[in-house]
Amino acid sequence: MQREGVCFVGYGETAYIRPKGEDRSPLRYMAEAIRLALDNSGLQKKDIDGLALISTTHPDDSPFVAEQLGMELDWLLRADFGGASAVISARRAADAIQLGQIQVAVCVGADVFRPVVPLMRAYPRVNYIEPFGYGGPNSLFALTQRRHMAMYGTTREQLGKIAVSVRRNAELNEHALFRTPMKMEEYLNARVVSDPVRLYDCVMPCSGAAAFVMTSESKAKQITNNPIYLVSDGEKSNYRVEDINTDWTVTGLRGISKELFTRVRHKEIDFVEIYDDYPIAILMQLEDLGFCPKGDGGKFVDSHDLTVEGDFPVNTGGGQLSGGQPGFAGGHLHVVEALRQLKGEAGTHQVKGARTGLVTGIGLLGYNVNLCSWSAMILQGDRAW
Amino acid sequence: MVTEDFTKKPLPAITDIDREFWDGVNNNKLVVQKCLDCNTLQFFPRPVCVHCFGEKLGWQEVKGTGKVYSFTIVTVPRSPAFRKQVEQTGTPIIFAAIDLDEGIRMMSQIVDCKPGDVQIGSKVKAIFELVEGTDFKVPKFRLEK
Ligand SMILES: [Zn+2]
Repeated sequence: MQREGVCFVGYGETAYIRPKGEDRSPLRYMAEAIRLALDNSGLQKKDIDGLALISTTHPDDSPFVAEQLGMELDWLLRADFGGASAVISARRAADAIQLGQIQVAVCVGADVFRPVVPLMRAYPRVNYIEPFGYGGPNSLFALTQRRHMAMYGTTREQLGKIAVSVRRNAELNEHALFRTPMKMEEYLNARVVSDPVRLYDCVMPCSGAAAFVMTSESKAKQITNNPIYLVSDGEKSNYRVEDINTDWTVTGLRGISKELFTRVRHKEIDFVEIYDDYPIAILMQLEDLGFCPKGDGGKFVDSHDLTVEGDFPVNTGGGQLSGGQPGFAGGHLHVVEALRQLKGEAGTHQVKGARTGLVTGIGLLGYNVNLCSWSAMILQGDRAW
Repeated sequence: MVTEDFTKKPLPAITDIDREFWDGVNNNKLVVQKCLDCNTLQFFPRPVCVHCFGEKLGWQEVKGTGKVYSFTIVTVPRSPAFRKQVEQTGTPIIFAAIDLDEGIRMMSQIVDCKPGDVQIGSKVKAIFELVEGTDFKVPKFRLEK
């Protein structure tokens, strides 16, 4: 849908780390990210009247979490959309702000890479996937990747170009977990995990939290001279779930790309932050967002420079592939990076002329559908950096 | 909350929704849900028909033959018990999505062949295999000659 009067004013993220010994509680990460986001916004805790959160490794119900953070709220949401939680949280917060229910919403995700309580897993996964020896999400994406390669001739070199390019972006980003340069040969010859998926196709789970702050346009203008506007957004759950044999190379973004690009055209997008649990996920999303025809994602990445210095910057901070995947806070990492770019605060990895960015969030591997949750939004600042 | 015994192969947590499916498997039959209102077949078993939302669901035996939609060679299975099997036998798991001839898709394992023998489109047929250390069967697939 098209938005009026809703802005992003700040962001915050903890370091993304894999501590060897004892880790901190997810709630400590969460509190730190919120504090950093408030600092970045010029707001205080008392200004927050809405909170959207996700933490699978701290599964307390959201009012309990808010109680522990000492927050009195008029609006509270536990987002349970996996990696789509950040964008979907932003959409729900935008609704509440537009309706006048709240003034300031914080959306936060926090997870640790070694859960202290067993993770909940869905019935189709437990009864119809796990008994057959799969390798976790790596195997489910491997099925889709093999299918895409067979149908469209997509090559590992093309997927490798994505992995190598986002690593280049991570080299320039002090927040990223993996900053040593990666050569194409290293990507191609990496250890097989679930063929055709190899080590550098996979995100590395880590601990961390990320948060962002949203408010009305009028409030935003009081606190900053650089509000970032939510232009358009959409989500799709269980795209084509009634088709019992869905094409797994098609993503739910196909169902929302038209409304996303109503006011902003593709060529106006200065950079994209595409939810990247795997390079093939980026490729399929670029196709279904309409940057190229279906199946031409490989050719598209061949013909563009995907680094922050390039003509089509993808995951300008290294995304999760090089930044690390802080559980279901992974989606928030992409929103934070988009805001950093649009506020002109990305320093060494700033995209020149960044004014309009696109962020996606995808989550929860399904059974009949490839993923259950798909979401995206376009953000725009008043000025190009 | 699901608790796991990491020394054993994962088994399904059977409910009233899918008991007939697993009873069928353990009698060497592959049965899937059929909507009695609109005649659509569906898999995995659900509380309602995904097409017409009907709650009158029966069960129909399928032939167990189909084609490989896609597959992956798993060298690092998620379950520690499967991981141990791969380490001990030196043989990876072939995990696959299979389109049955009746038009439904099922994820399972392809056994009794080499990884290089499987292709997208390969013809397969269901078999019923005991999970080691149990008297419980799960459906797997073999390549058809
Ligand atoms: Zn029906």
